[in-house]
Amino acid sequence: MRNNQRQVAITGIGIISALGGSIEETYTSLREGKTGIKMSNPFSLPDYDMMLGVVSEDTLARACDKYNIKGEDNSELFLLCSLEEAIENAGLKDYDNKGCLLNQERMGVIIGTILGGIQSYELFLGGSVDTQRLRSYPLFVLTQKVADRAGCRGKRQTVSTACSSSTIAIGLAYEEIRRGQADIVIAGGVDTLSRLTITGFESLQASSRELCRPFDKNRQGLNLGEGAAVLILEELSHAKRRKCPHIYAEVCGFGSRADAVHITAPDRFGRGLTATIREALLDAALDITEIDYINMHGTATQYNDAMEITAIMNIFGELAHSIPLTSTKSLTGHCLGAAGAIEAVISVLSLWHGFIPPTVNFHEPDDGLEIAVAKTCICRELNTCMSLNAGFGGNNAAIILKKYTGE
Amino acid sequence: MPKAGPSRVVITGIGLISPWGISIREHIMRIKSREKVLRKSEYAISNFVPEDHIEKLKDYARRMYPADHFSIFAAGKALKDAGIDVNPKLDNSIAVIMGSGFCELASREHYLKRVVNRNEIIPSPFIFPNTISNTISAYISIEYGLKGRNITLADSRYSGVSAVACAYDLINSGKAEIAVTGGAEELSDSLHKVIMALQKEPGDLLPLSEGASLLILENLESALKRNAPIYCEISDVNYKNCHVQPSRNLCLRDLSELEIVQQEWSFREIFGDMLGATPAFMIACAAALLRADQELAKETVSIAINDGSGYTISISLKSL
Repeated sequence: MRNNQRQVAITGIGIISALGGSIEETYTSLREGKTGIKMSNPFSLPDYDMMLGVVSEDTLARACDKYNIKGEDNSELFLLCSLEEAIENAGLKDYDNKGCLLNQERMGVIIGTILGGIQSYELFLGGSVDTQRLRSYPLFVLTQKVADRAGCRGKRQTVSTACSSSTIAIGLAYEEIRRGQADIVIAGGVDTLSRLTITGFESLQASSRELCRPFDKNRQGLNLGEGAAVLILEELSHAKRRKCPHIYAEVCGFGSRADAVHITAPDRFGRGLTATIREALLDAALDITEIDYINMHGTATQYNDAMEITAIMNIFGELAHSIPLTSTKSLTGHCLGAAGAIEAVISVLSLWHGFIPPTVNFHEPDDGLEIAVAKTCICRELNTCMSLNAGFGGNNAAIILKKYTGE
Repeated sequence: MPKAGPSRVVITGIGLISPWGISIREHIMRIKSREKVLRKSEYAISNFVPEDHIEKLKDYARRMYPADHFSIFAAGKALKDAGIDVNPKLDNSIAVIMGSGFCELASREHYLKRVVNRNEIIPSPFIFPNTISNTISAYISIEYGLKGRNITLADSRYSGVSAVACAYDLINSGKAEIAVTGGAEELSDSLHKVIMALQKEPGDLLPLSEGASLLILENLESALKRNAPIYCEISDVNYKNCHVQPSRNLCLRDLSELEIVQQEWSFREIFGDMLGATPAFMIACAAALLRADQELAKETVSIAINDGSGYTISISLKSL
């Protein structure tokens, strides 16, 4: 054990996105490199037929039926479906049913979201629902619902740090367990498509009407997406004691630093992200040669991708040409506050099954930026994976996951 | 690089702004007066010119929303109070951890009224960036060049205490030496409606107010090394679930100043309901009272904020 610190295992995962309403559907789509992004106009906005990663009504209905979930706002439905799947495969329900009650006071919830129940708020402003519907809007309500449903009576936090929200949520959950303040923390993220974000990113000229092409020389911008993902983080010996069915991976490093430069544009020298990666590596006590795969933020905007590659070059130097990296946003769309959690779950699947998902639509790298973008699915045993996210306000976050080897 | 291991955490700076003033003295005076707010609808900050207090982001100031202005202003005051001279050009690892339950509401309302009600298809690109919730912590980091961890917590009425607790954990665990932390809220047309919808008992509604309360939390060793003024120590942070409702309708005349700052309901009766910012004001006032009165040196002050469903965060302060 590193520095005699408590180890943090991931014992449950749940996900819903344009790739599907379960871990199994998501895994199949990732292996096949099948994008969930397609032409849609969910709010019937004039001249807004866009490439979006929408969670289909059918997918959501099936997931809600399976777990008997009812609610008013899609953010709540997405999150609770992911929660139930994560609880189910962590074996927490069975454990409870056997009468071996968990210490609920030592179970926390940390959720990342930018928008909360924005769809309810938009309906209210449009006059189609009454004031009571506003109860679904505030961001903390989502955390409260997860805590109530999972019976958590420990710490609750709602992180809103733009597109790095749920990576920071996972990082804070990891630190909470390592410090000994909790045995289990449910961490995750959620965001839905909305008029606010669809028109907002268009106003910034950051979205593309074509399929997004992260890191490609001819990238045009991002495709928005939606979804949720939940991870059950658990102190390793606690997980072993209750004989949990899976230990998918371990969280072993977290870093987060600010650019302190601009409210929307990233630092073009990638200094914030560079410091973030350095902090995460130091926290994990890993050398750059020990990172097997990087799940990049990779929004496919000009500025983000250039900044991210600069930061990777700053840290990894020559190694950056050989470490495989991908942007799974080419498959899910950019799910904003949920992106970090969704990509963390994808990274867990990569470690668990031994594969690197592809960056679809990537053809040609930028001049002088010879990085090893995985174009097709690569099957390979992986021991470590780093997942990166960056957001408005110059927020950067990195988590490092490693394969659980039984030690 | 901050050292690993538990560190003692102290408060070394305070910056405030509310309709009741821009100094800790004005807020303590109001507590001493025990004057309650009138049951009018809300209390807004007036006569505040943001451009007078913002330097690096002066050109952006008119595009920002009030909670951003309040946060930048109060953070500047807190840093100055703590004797921290920040040079935005230099690298530092000062963290910014802010709490706000509803500060994004005004900008989202402004933006969405254009899209939803006025059918404006592509609004100005300058409005959208301000609709994210973390502008308060982001703008502080940009204005003062603070490059450490940067987080906004959106935890409803307990946002301010959630942020201070998060900053405490960061320093206590050796991940940072200094953090700028606190809470901010601003009034908006929708805010009252959202609060009404969330309220279990409408009688519990106090007049809404706005403002920001910022604190500098610092590792004790670092504070001593640079001879920083120390208000008090944060001796404990606790999270629990206890179904105890906050005491209401207490007679303010029967309470000491220190008791008032520990009673959420009494504090809100004096200052109005600043929602997620209120706990940060309570902590700031308690810290100032502890430093001002040597008689209180042996007291441990506990500020506990309950979310209404039983979830409670409490922060204990004591004189050094």
